[in-house]
This record gives sequence, C-alpha cells and structure tokens, in this order.
Amino acid sequence: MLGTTAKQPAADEPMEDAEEEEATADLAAFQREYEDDHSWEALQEDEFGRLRPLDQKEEQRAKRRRLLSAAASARIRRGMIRYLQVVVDLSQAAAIADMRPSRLAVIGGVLQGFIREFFDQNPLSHLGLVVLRNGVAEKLTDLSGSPEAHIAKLRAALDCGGDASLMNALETATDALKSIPPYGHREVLIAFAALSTCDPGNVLDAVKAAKQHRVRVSVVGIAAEVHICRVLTQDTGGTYGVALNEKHLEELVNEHAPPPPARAADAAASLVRMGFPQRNAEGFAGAAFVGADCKLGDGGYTCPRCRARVVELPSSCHVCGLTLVSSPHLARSYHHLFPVPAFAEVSADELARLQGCRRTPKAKPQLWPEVPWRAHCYGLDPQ
Amino acid sequence: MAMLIAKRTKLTVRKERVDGVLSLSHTSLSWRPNNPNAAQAVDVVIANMTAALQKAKGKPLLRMPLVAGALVLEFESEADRNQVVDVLTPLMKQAAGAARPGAAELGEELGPLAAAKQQLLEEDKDLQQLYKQLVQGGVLSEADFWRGRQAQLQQRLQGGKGPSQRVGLSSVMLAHMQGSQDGRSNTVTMRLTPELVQQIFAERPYVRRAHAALVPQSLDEKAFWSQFMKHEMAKRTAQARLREARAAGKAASHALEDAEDPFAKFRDPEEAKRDARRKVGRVDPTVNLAADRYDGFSAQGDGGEAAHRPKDTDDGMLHDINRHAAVVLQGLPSARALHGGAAEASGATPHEDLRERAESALDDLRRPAEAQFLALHISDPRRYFDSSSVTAGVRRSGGSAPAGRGQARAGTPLSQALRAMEAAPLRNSPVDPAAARRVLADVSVHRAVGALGEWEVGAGWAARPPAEALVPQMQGLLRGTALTCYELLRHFWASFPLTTPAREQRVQRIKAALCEQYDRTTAMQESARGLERVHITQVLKPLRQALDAALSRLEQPAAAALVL
Repeated sequence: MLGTTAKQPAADEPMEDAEEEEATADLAAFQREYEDDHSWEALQEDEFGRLRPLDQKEEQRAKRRRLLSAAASARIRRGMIRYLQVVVDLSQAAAIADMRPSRLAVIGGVLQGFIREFFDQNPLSHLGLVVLRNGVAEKLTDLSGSPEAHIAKLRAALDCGGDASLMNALETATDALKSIPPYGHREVLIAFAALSTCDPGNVLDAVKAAKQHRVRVSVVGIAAEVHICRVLTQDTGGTYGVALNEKHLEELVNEHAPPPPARAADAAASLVRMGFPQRNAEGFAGAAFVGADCKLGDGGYTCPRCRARVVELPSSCHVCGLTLVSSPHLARSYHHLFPVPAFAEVSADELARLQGCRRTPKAKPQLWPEVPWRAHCYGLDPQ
Repeated sequence: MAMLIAKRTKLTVRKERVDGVLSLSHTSLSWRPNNPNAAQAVDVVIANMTAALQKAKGKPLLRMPLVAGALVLEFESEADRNQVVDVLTPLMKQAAGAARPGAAELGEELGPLAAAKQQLLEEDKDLQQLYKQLVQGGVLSEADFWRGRQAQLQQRLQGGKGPSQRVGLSSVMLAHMQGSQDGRSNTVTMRLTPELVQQIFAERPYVRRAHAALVPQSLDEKAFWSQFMKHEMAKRTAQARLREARAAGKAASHALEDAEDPFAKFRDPEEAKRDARRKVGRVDPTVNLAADRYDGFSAQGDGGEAAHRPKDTDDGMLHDINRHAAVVLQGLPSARALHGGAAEASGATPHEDLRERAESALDDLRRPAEAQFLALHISDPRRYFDSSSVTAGVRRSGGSAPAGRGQARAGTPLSQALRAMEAAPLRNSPVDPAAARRVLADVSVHRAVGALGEWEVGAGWAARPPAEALVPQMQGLLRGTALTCYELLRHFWASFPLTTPAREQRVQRIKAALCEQYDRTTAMQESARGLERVHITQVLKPLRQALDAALSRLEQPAAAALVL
C-alpha cells in the first residue's frame, strides 16, 4: 500500500486546504479499491512481442466465425482475375490521432500489408492506387501486377490535407476500370477516414454509374459509420465495415484479400488465353535488351508467342499483349477452386493415445483429423 | 460547314468585271455574282486546289489556279485580299496534308494535341528516334504511332490531374473566413479567393447587392471587404461573450449589441418569408406534422419546454446555417446552371424524390437482401491434378462431390504405390551430397560458357556481361535497333487478325521493315570482329528470334493462324 502524503495546512489558505483534503481522500479511496488488483500479471506476449488481448470471448468468437465462414465458402464460385482500385482517404480527418500514432500511419501500414497479401492470394490480378486529397481524387499508380511499385509510391505519398470527395473517387476509379477485359472482376476498396464527403454534384449519380459498369465497391470505415457509404456498398454489392481498433482495421482490410463471391452477371465463364514463358539464363548467356524500355540485362522471361523479353511475372507482354503467368502463380489459385475442408479438432490426450499406439494416419482415418490424403505429405509428423 | 469569310469581289468574265461575293468555308470556296444573270457561280473544293495562289503587288488581285483554268478575283482592297489569302493558305495545306497520310508534318496541326505531341517528342529521346525512323520513314502512319500512346498524351493534355475534376463546396461554414492573426502586430490578415467570394455571394444575397451597389462607385474592393470582415468579427466576439455569460450562469445580457451593420440597408426582411413560402410548396404532402403534434416529440408539443429556451436565440445564425446547407447541397447557382440543368429538367417531381428518400430510411422494415451465391461445379476435379488418371479406369466420384474425399478413397496408381512403400528403410537422400554438389558446379560452368563455343581460350574474359564489355556507342546503337524492332513488332502483332485490307497493307509494310531490320542485324554481326562479335551476337540473338517468330507467323497458312 502506497503511503499517503500529508501537507501542513497553512492558516491563510483555507480554500486550497479543502481541495487538497478532498484529493487525498480520493486517492485513499482509490487505493483501497484496487489494493488487490494485480492485473498486470495477466498480460501475455505473443511471438512478436505484442501484448495479447485480455478477453477470451473475443478469441472464441473469432474462431467460431472462421469455422462458419469456412463451411459457408466451400463451394462458391469466386472471381479470381480481379482488377482492384484501392482508394485511400488522405483528407484532414486522417491526421486525427485516435489510432496510435495517427490514423494516417495506421492505414499506411495496414495497406502495405494488404497489398502483399493481395498479390499473394491473387497472383493473376491487378491493383491500382487512388488518393483523396483537397477535394480531388489523384491516381497514384496505374493498374499493374507488381507489389513493390505500389508500396513505394504509397510510402512516398502519405501526407494529408483538405476534404475527401466520394464522388470524385468513384468517378476516377470507374474510369480507370473501364478499359479492362470482360473476364476481369472490377472492384474498388475505399479506406474512408472522414465523416462527410465534399462533392461537386450528386454523389448518387456516381454510385449509379458504378453500378452500371458492374463495379463492386467496398468500404472500410475508420471513423464511424456514414450513411452514404452504407448506401453505396449496398447498391453495388460490396461490404462495409467500421473498424473498432487497429487490429480490427487490419482484419477488415485483409478480409478483402481472398477473392469475393462472383455475381451471376459477372460470372460468365470464358476462356482466357495465357502464356507460360520460359525463364532465361542468368549471367552472360542470358544478356539481352529486356522490357519495354530496353535495358541491357540478364534473366527475365521470353514470351512464347512473340519471343520478346519480359522483366518479371505475372505481367502482360509489352509487344503482343499476351497475359504471362508462371504455373506456380496459377497453382496458387487452386486454393480457391479446391478449398481445403475444415480440420476437426483433436484433444491433447487423444493425440497422445494415437502416438502411443504408433499407428500410421492412413490406417485409421476415423480417429485422425479428416484431411485429404495429399495433406499427409506435409501434415503432422508421426514421430 | 460554317462560312469563314465573305468578301466582295469582282470577277472578270469575258472582259467585263462582274460584282459578286466570295465565301470560304472549311472545305470549299464559292463565288456568287450579285446579279445571277450576269455570270455563272463558281464552286471549288479546297482539297483540289493544289497549286499556290498568286498575289499581285500593288493591285488587289488574286489569281487562283484551278483544275479547269485560273480564277482571277479583284478585291476591294489589298487588305481584304491578304485576309482571304491568310485564311485560305492553311486550309489548303491542311487539305493537302490530309490527302497524304504518311508524310504529314507536325507543324501544321494547330491545337493542344500537336503541342502535347511535340512536348513528348522533345522530352523523350527514344521516342523521337522512333518517330524519325518509323513515321518519317513512311513505315507507320502518324495515327498508328500515337494510337498506342494515348494515355501519355491524355496525361500531358490534362497536366497530371484527372479529367476535369471539380471540387465541391466545403461543409464547414465559411471557415476560410478566419483571418490569421500575427502575434506581433495588431492586424488580422485574410485571403479572399474568387471561389470564396462566390460562396459568400450565394449564401448572403444582401452582400451581393451591396457589392453591386457600392463597389465601383463609393468603395473599392479592399475597403468593402475590410468593412465586411470587421462586421463579421465583431459579431463573432459578441456571440462568444454572450455564450460565456450564459455558461457562467450570469444574467443573459439582452440582445447582442447590434454593431452597426454597414450593409443593413441591403438586407431584405421579406426574403426569408418568400424563401419559406417557396419551400412549403415542395414539402412532401404525405408527411403530416399536425397529426404528431401532441406526441411530445416535436418542437411545439414538447410539454412546455419551449418556455425554458432562452428568448434571445439568434435567429439570424440559424438562418445563416440553413442557407449555407442549402448552398452546399445544391451547389452554387452558376455551377448548378452549368451541370444541373439537365438533371433538373429530366428528373422526377420533387414529391417522388422525397418519398423515395423517406422509404430508404426504413431499412429494418424490409427483408434483408439475401446474398446470392453461385455454386461451384467442377465436373472432374482430378483432371486438374493428375493427368494420368484420366486414362486409367478410375471410379468417378460424381459431379458435385467434394474433390478431397473422393481422392482419398479412390486408388490411383500413384497413391497405391505410395501406400505400399515403407518409409523406414529409405535413405534420406538418394545420392551422395558431395558428389551431387560437384556435378551441379560442373553443369553450371558449362552452361555459362556454352555460348562461346570455340572461344575457349578467352572464356574468362568473355564471361563479363555485355554491359561492361561493349563500348557505350555500340550499346546505344544496339539499343536503338532493339527499340525499333520492338515498336515494329508491337504494331505487327496488334494488326492480327487480318480482317480489313488496311490491316493487311500495314502488315505488308511492316514486314518489309522487319526484313530490313533482320538484314541490318546480320550485317552488324558480320562486320564485327573478335570478342566484340561474340557479345553483339549474344545481344542480338533474342531480337533475331523475335523477328523470326513474327515472319514465320506470316508464313503460316490461314487455318493454323486461327489458333493464335
């Protein structure tokens, strides 16, 4: 118990005395109340050194949600060739520091992680960046398939000011998505930090235009729920979520990384012509002029149709326009075509029992978790 | 076909001068006599006028050589004639330029597009070189060349920003009107932009009237706006004082000291009433406020709370706020006239609008929209994993059964073989690691050196990358060749499939150019000697392969060409 400090009352300061006595009484009451509360001992760190959240219910809820979503998403057609425009709100509202260190820094970090995750899960897709600042929407990067360019540009452009305009954002994004091939799915993801939108005309017209062009707009709100965002996402078929804290914001944004369910209008199946280029040799034997700006270098890939040299994959050939991918990229999309069924939980003593019997998993499938046989290759170690 | 210019002229017909009028339009020129019986009218298409015009010095005569003889016109003055010549000459050049597509010069086109093209060419040396070689060499047309570069041109034309984006009015009520106060001096500086002035005029019509009446005559702009700002600031300090007084619980001093409003005489007290009457006409008739009056939720039927509200609320401020909201939502009157006229004319009546808005708020009274998901049907999933099992007689697991379980039970030959294997007696690595490493090193050395062939002696030195080994001029030359080849190939592949004769002609022209480039690369290879030749061959090999691929594509029969 901490000691209390007592002060000698001066004869000529009765007012201050009374206040100080009140303060000390308050402090004593506080100490009595929380004398036995050692809540700091319940804190735990995870493997990155971050503090774990204290409430267990949240984690159980998250687990249940994951299971349910895995069950529901088993056999749904998804749009895998996505053309996504990410719109970042860099208005004055992004400078508010209610998320530490500021909303701007948090959203910058989250988006960089999202870009990498997006290209990880959707290697055949393209992404572009738009920023909202001073009432206009500026196109930061064009639709392209390499994450590094986007991340570098995003890092350089993180300063805010002015108002956010949803109408200009929608018009710019819809314009940029007009020229993509018909088998691609058009999406817009808006990270909205403001509470109002400052538009030159009727924003509902822009929403109607987006709906006509079959663009699916989703919003992740950082401040609070805004009605126009709700209307916008409902009309175009996207999702709207408002973040409660930094971790929740990251979860909401990363939910958009796996491909969304395809709508009936978009999901007309068509054959897409793609090329699988060969990799050229490194070093002396592979030196040539590579890429659209003809840099002398080695490595790279050769387009199978026109034999031009391309710098990286996946991309489209700068000479004949063929989409070039490598088979690992395509194989990553199998994850969505053939989703892994949910694992069944096995309690610890059951596991010990199984290990003690030294039974191989294939022999007793009913006790072992239900996994497809292929997963045994990199599944649990029987030793 | 607008008429550009019309001048009175005389035409000499059979030794007589006939009065008439010469009129020029963009595409044609015509002369009409004043008296239709005196002479025949003349109509000429400008594109047919290829020879130069001849002017006479000192006399206002103009001789225009036409297909069927020459036309000599006498103008009223030399100035007239010069004017006509000035207008006609560029039209003739333009017409002539349009007739020869391949050799159009940049300088003739007037307009921002040409300026943008010029700028792009000046900034990018590569582009300039390509342009010189291909367009001025007659292989590609100007339109073709710039077709692939539209995005760059558009960006240059718009100066980086999106296509004509407008900025909306800020919802914060005239916050820009706050001046910045310098701590040192006693002045407040304020910046007035034309947009801010427009907004003030839209929100406060009396200021507009005062401005129209006072500014050029009695006050100048600066004095006018200083008066306005002083009044605003006085009002604000008075309001702040009133709020403080009310917060401290002291007796509310009565109405704000009405600081002298310099524009009081321009205020229109009837305006507010007129506005209100106009708004009443647009109210949704299905909303019945009188019916809810005594529920206790509206302002009137709130059980006497109205009595507690302080009497000296500033109705002026409420009026200001409402006006500001109206201006922001509807836009400035000028902007509204420009962009919103069409919408207002064609939109539904205001009543339907209001009803739609009212219905949209009641979301929880409607059934939530069920997400329609499409089922994923893969007819035979095993085709995507195991190509050998398609031919083997494997039990099919049906159309929509999950792929995973089907495969666990079905016995493909591979899985059976794996199950039969015992893991324990197998060694971890099938080959001795040291031996494997030696083999790998050997193979990679051979691969790197393989291109040299008989130059085994200089192997170490030649294995430097060509970027170091070749002189910069040589690199530049090779790079230029590469750029040209790629540009030609780009247009080549873009012309397939060959549907129109224009495309076929273009492909033939490009084919000739490609053959020429091929020969050029061969010559470059032959003329080089020594180690340089090795490097040049190495660098030119992929280019020659690309050219080969293009030429062999042309030689393919049409049926096989359908595949690609």
